[in-house]
Amino acid sequence: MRDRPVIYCGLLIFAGLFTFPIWHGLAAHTTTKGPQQAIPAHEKECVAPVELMKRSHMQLLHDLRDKAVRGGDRTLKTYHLNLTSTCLTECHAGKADFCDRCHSYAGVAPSCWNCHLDSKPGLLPYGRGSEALSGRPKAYSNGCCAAGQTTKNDGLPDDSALSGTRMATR
Amino acid sequence: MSRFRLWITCLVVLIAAGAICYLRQLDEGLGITGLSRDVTWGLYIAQFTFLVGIAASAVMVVIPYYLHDCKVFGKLAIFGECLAIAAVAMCMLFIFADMGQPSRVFNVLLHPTPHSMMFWDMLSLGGYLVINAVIATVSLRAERAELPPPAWIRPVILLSIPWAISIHTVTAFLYSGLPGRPFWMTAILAPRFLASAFASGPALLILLAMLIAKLTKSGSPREPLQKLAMIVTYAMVINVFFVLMEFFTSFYSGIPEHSESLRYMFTGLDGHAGLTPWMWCSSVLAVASLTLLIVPRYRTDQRLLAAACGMVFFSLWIDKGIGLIVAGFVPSPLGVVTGYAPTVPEMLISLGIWAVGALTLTVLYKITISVREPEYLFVAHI
Amino acid sequence: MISRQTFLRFSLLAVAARKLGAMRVRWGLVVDTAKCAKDSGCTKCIAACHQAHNVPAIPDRRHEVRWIWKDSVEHAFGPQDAYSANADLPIMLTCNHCDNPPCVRVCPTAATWKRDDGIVMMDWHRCIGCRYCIAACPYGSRSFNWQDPRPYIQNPNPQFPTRTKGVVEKCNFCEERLAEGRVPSCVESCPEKALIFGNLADPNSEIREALRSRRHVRRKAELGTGPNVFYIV
Repeated sequence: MRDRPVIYCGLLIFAGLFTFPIWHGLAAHTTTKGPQQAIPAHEKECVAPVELMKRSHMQLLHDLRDKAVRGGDRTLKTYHLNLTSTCLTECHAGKADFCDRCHSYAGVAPSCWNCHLDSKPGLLPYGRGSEALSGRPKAYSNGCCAAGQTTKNDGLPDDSALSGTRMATR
Repeated sequence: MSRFRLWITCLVVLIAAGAICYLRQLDEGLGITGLSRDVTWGLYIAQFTFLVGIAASAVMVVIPYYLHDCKVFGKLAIFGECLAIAAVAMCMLFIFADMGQPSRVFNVLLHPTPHSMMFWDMLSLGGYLVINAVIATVSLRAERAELPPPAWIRPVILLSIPWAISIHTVTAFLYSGLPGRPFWMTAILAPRFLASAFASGPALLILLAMLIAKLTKSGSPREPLQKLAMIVTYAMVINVFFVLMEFFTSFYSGIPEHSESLRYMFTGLDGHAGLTPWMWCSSVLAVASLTLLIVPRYRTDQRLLAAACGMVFFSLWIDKGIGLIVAGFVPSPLGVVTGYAPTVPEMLISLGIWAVGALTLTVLYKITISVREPEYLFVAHI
Repeated sequence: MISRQTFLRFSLLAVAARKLGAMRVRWGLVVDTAKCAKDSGCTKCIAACHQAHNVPAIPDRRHEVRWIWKDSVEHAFGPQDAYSANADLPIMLTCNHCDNPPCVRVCPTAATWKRDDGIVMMDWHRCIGCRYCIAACPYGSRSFNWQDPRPYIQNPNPQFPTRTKGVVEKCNFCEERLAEGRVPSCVESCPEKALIFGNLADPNSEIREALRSRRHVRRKAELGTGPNVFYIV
């Protein structure tokens, strides 16, 4: 009978942990409204039906990628397939305004941006880029954040000397 | 703390250290190793090459017992098979550690390329692991139930024989078909690999059996170990002979690109001589071990046999696990000599993987020892 | 009189042959070593290529990434005799886009393959970074990304991606420019016009004319790799 307070405490802690997503979400004011990505104004329809894009744009991107890189065929309707120069320049506003809207909401981080460049400036430059500018790149990183930097969508002005395209990491 | 618990703790600590270094390698890239644009394979791939040999060597116990009815190896076979499992596990971990994009490793199976020897290497290693796991499980289970093993296990065991030969031949094919690397472009590479495997693997098995016999205070495994020692002797003689053959073709022909790598290993090249102490150590150990093995009076002495087996193992570990891979990249295709020395994180990751293998082996051997009665660990019931 | 079958068979073959003949492209590069060596310190082709393709400038020689580089005749072609004046002359080296490429043969995922137009191409999405292709290449043309290259790229070209750590890269004969009908960056940027690029399968091309009229060699041709970069000596 002396164990009762301990057991109740344990149950309370368990309940707290179990319901963590709910009250943490409430505190962060997230809603169930869902992500709103910027839709291009001048195009009437997507390269494929919207439902298909929502469900399987990942597969479509993979197929187009193999077609372009391995097949050497970069034609898709009237477009010349190029992630940065076409997809993110001609139609979609940029990584932050389009791709990241849903990806940040869903908590996914596709690895496209390890290699592909964003079409828009405005994102913070890559963490070690400032060292590269001063000519002294660090040999080793200072932790695990380097590979997993999240991008910020708050449009902070870039404070580096780099002009033009930013290199996004996620 | 008991000795066993201390052993496990040490292994876990080594594994943790290796894992932490590996996480750093995942984050920063393979640049934290000592590898370079010229020497692109180093400690990891060298350890993998050596361990494929150890894995293949289980066949040196299986062939006499299952093909030639050599009853004295009856109890030893399972120890060889467990060693093969641990060795193959380590091989796969070393390959994984060496990969630049490890998350994409399944691309090898998703996009099979039969013209690449690495594809076949992955298949054969995976298959060998499965075969040995099945054999070990079924055999131990049957022993525990004090029943003979099921009849279908015999063809599987017989399959493991050519499979064992093939895993190391395919590994040799990784190197011996590359037109840009004259040091490896030799037909004798695969036979050399097999000879050194059949010397170093059984040597390790002898040492492990002696150790287990001492730890479990079980019956002396004298007879099977003497037979195994004969196999080690022959294999080591053949291996040294093959190495001497390499020296002849390289130096007698006078063709620079054939001898430069050997000169790098034994005398240094262009001021780089990092490998020379290792290689001379390996040669001295090889000669010393052969002296102890060839003379029957020394070979039959258990202590000298243990020393000889240790020397064989280390000599061949240096030969394959340090010398062969690095020297293949020196000089580079442009004739430049670049030295290589593993960095601390690289060594810790390698130690961590060796510790994983040791832990696997410990667990498997503990199971075997628990299944069998200690007096009959290595010798059959009369 | 030939039978109807034979007539049909021959006419089909003729059509096929003409189609093949018209469309066949095999890209090749000729380096005029004398013109290239006029200014031994010139690195314009390297700068143009590395800028166009976001190749990182890594100061540590051990981790260097290069698509084109200059090296001595001795390093490129093997031991030279002691009597020639030009053993130390730097010449431009790059991937040879071999006819029988060992790198393609060994790649376990087909992340590198030979296209119909002769270019040995890389798919950086598929590369697992095993570096087997680097071991196989007899020319030292391939580089591995030992760390993330992005901190070492000063002026990224938005028209081309970067690569990430853990993949192998090399010259791609500017296939993205070829698709638009332009010559490779290195060829365009050479101030001495030392580089000739063209279709080896077209007997009337400038490159074929150069190869016909001038003595030329290839690197390590005895290995059977069939390199498509020719050096006019």
